[in-house]
Amino acid sequence: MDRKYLELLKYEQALNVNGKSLSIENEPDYIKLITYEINFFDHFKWKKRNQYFSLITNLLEKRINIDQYITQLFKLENEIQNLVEELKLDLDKLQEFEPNLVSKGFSKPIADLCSDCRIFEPDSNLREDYELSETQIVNNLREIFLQIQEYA
Amino acid sequence: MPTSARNRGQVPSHFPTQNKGSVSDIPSSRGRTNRPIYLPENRGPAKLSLKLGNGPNPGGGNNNSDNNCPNLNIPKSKKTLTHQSHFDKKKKKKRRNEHLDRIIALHGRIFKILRSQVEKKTPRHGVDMGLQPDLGVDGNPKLDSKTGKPMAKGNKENYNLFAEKLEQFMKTSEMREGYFRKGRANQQEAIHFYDSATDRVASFNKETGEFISFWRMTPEQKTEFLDNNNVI
Repeated sequence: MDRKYLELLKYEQALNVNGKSLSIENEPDYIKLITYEINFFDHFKWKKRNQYFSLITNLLEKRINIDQYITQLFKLENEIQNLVEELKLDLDKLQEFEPNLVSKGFSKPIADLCSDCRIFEPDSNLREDYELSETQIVNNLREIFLQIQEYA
Repeated sequence: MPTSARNRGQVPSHFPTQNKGSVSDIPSSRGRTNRPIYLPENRGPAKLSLKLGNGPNPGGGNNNSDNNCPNLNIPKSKKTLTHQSHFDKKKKKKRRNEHLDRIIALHGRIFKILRSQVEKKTPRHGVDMGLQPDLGVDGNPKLDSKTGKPMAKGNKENYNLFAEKLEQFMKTSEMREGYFRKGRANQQEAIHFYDSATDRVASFNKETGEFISFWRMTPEQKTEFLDNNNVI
C-alpha cells in the first residue's frame, strides 16, 4: 500500500484520539485519504462482482422482488464496509495490501445502485420529485448493469 | 376446538341451525360436491347473489343478520381504493400537518422543513441525527429491514426532535451549493449543509427551499461531494 496513505491514516487516527477530525484540520489531506480508501471499496466490491451480477439478473428476470433486491444489495454493502474497516485496523495487512487495478472505478456504478434504492418510494401518492418508482429503478438498473458488465 | 369420539360429526353448539336460519344446497360452479350454505332466515335462496361484495346489500335484509355465514363475510380491507381517494388521503394528511412545518431564514435564503418530509425521514435517518434507536424486545436496536441500520421510532416526539436538531444542524454546519443526484435523470439543484466532522449532510431543493433528506454519506458520496459539492 502507498506509504502516503498509511501516514495519513495514522495522522487521522491520532487526531481522532484527541477528539479532532482530519476533515476539519486539513480537508485536502482528508480527500486524499478517502480517495485511497475508495480503492479498497473498488477492490472488495469487484471481488464480489459475481454476487452483484446475480443479484441484478435475479431482479431483472423477476426471480426476486424489489424488496428482496434492496435487502440483499445493502447486506452485500454492509459486508464490504466491514471488510474495509477490518483492513484499516490491521496495519500489517494494510501495508501488504494492493488493490487489483482492474477494479478501479467499480464502486461508482454500485454506489448508483444503492443511491437509487435509498430514494425508492413504492407509493405513487407519497412519491416526491426526487424519489423513484420500481419501474424507474429497474430502468436505471439496466443502464448501470451495462457499466458493471465491463468489469466482468 | 378439541374433538372427541363422542361429538365428532355432530354440529357444534354455536353452529347456526334451521331454527335461526335455513340450510340450502346450492350447485357449485367449480364441479365440487354440493355443500350446504347457511342462509339467514330473512333472506330467501332466490335472492342470494354470487357476486358478493358488489353493490349495497342486494338481499335487502338486515346487514347484521348474515354475519354468521362465512360465504357472506367480505373483509373490509379488501375494499378497493380509487386513485382519487388515495390522492385525497395524501392531501388531507399534508394539510393536517401543515402547521408543524418550519420555515427558516438562513444565509439570505428561505428553507422549509415540511412535517411530511420529517415524518418520512425520521425512522431511517433519525439515529444519524442523534435520536435514540428504537429497541426491540431483546433490548437490541431494531434494524431497518432493508439497509440493516438502526432505526428511530416514528412518533410525534421524535418528529419534533428531528426537526429541531435539523434546524440546529443547519445553523452549525457549512453550506454548499451543488446538485442532488448529480448526473442522474432526476437531478436537482440543491443547497447542502455539511458537517465535515461527522460526514453528515442535509439537502434542500434550491428552487423551493424544501428539505429533501439528511443522512451520513458513504465514502463514494464523500469524494464526489468534497470534490464537486454534489451528492450522487
